[in-house]
Amino acid sequence: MSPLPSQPLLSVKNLKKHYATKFSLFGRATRVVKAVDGISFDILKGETLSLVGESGCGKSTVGKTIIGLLQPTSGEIELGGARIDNLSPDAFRAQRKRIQIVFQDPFSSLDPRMRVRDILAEPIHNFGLARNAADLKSRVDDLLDVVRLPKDAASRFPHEFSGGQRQRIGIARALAAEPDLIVCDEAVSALDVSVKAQVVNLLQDLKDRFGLALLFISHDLAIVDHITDRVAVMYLGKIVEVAPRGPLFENPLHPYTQALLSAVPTPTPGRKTSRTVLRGDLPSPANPPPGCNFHTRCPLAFDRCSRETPVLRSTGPDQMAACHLID
Amino acid sequence: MALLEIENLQTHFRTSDGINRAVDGLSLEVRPSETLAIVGESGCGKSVTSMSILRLLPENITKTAGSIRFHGRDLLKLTESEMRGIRGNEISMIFQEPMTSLNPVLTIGRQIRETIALHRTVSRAEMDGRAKDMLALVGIPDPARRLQEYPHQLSGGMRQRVMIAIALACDPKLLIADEPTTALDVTIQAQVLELLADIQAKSKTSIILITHDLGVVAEIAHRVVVMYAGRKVEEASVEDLLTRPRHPYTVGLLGAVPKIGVGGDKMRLVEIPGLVPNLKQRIAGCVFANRCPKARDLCLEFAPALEQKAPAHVVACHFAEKEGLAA
Ligand SMILES: Nc1ncnc2c1ncn2[C@@H]1O[C@H](COP(=O)(O)OP(=O)(O)O)[C@@H](O)[C@H]1O
Ligand SMILES: Nc1ncnc2c1ncn2[C@@H]1O[C@H](COP(=O)(O)OP(=O)(O)O)[C@@H](O)[C@H]1O
Ligand SMILES: [Mg+2]
Ligand SMILES: [Mg+2]
Repeated sequence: MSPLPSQPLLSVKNLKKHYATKFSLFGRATRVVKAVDGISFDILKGETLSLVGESGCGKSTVGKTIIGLLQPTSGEIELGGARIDNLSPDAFRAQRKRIQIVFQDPFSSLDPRMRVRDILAEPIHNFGLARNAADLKSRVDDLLDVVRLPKDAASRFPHEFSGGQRQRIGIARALAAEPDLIVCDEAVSALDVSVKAQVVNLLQDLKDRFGLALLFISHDLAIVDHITDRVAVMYLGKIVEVAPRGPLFENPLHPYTQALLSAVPTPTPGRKTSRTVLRGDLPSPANPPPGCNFHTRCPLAFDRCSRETPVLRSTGPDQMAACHLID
Repeated sequence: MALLEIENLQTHFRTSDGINRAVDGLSLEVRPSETLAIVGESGCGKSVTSMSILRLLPENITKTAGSIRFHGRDLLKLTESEMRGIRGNEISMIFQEPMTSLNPVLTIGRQIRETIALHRTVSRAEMDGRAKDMLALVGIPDPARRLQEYPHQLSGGMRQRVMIAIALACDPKLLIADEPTTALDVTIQAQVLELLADIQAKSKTSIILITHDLGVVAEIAHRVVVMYAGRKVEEASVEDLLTRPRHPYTVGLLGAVPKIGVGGDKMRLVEIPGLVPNLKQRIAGCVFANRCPKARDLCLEFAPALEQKAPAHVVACHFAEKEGLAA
């Protein structure tokens, strides 16, 4: 059953993932890293939502929780209207097919002893998607074609490919399961500029062709501007702003989004003059500042910001931000 | 007169399957108090160039030829002990990953003092004073306390600042920064780039900035050398290179870089088709010919010479137009 148009494909509700990293003598957690601390978002069928923010803000933790690699501390994850965060392993496996992931490092995420053919056949097999051996072979051939790899790639091993080609294999493997949603966790971040452009264009094409939804996790805002429909900006485990691509890049509301955008260097001559350079480093998620998490680095912070935590508020069609300045 | 003059540098490695011509006939110069960027995709020979300048090359090197004149002296002809007097003193270097070049078991203060002691005979008190000044110079708050700390107690951005402090401790004439901000978040990258630009304005140190990121180039470089497959393919002032690139590779790179504000559905990134050539095979013609949209038979047969195609703008391409030069 496909979800009704009004119903989101994926719905994340007040998701938390906390890690206890130190314990007292009596086993009580004395240091808790709030990697993800109460975030909510939806992804529609065929939509690309990007999660952006500095390293350590919790992006990967969100991705891993959604695909079931991590158990949430609390909160709910719904796929097509049904909870998937509290399923038995068997029940989860059936849903697992619908969400696939592509990681940053194509080198470590492919089994070096398997030929590409077998890497791609595995999910087809596991999810019972092929009718017979001939169907399996033609599916593998199609996948290679779809990600623009040569046919003879099937009989080769991962180490025989360049970084960009390996990432195509990773994408083909994700597609093999015929998912509704692919989580791309920094999937193009390690690639060289010219190859990155090839893979980003490929992702765009696949998304259009198969009506795929993407959760595109990236610290690279420029790439996000080229690929996304909407953006959620994270800071210390929380979403501070969500908006469609246009408003987010043209009219960012949260001071953190503004600072993040202004820090991106562009290949046009001359130093940026209107840059907001953030002072200081990211605070530790084990010991986040009181009030607004961002107030220690915010150029616009005032007294209320260190006392009171701002909540995400609607500021326009589809746009929300958590900042006392936009009350 | 140039501070550093590299002429026809060749650095080749022995590998299990042949000779890797990592740097193959590179010439460039660095002028007093300028920032020269060397830009290119991974494997094009940027790091091997910097290691050749400092003579920090691995065992499996089969050939270094050409000359590297620093203040008129050919570094390739110096003895190892003469080289030790130059490294960290007249020429120093910072790397992408500060953790690998900082000693984890020594305090920050001790590491700065050791660098100074290697090249200067000064009292402990003078060294401490200098160490504190250096940390203050690179914008580390509370320098006296930081001197007592170990590298792991610092954030990534702070470690890179410490690396810069150590590199500048002896007032080098030339600072080589090899991907100094690649491992950092954009917000921290902006801080470090601002620091490098400030330091240069104050101390007049020449900088070789090695990067794969044309955005970073635009931020702080004065002139740019574009490398491809171990060679220089284009050289120009930063304005000229970014606004009037003449080599098809540079044109391709600039098109492939995602830029904020021009994204969205209709904006595809320009792809450079194919892959970089194998440096273990001799390439008769132009190194870029197999990926070049303008290539003709001529390009496959004859390597184009580096030629001045516009004032202070050098390009290795048979088809780059000449402009603005007296006949
Ligand atoms: N297994 C773990 N135990 C403790 N802390 C963790 C663990 N995994 C991640 N973290 C912490 O959670 C935070 C978020 O991590 P992550 O989701 O990887 O961030 P991002 O992907 O945005 O860089 C970081 O502070 C990280 O150190
Ligand atoms: N120790 C080595 N032995 C063999 N080949 C090497 C060695 N170091 C670097 N190379 C090769 O030299 C070429 C240039 O490398 P490098 O200068 O590190 O590139 P980059 O431009 O990414 O810094 C690459 O093909 C690389 O594989
Ligand atoms: Mg991550
Ligand atoms: Mg390098």
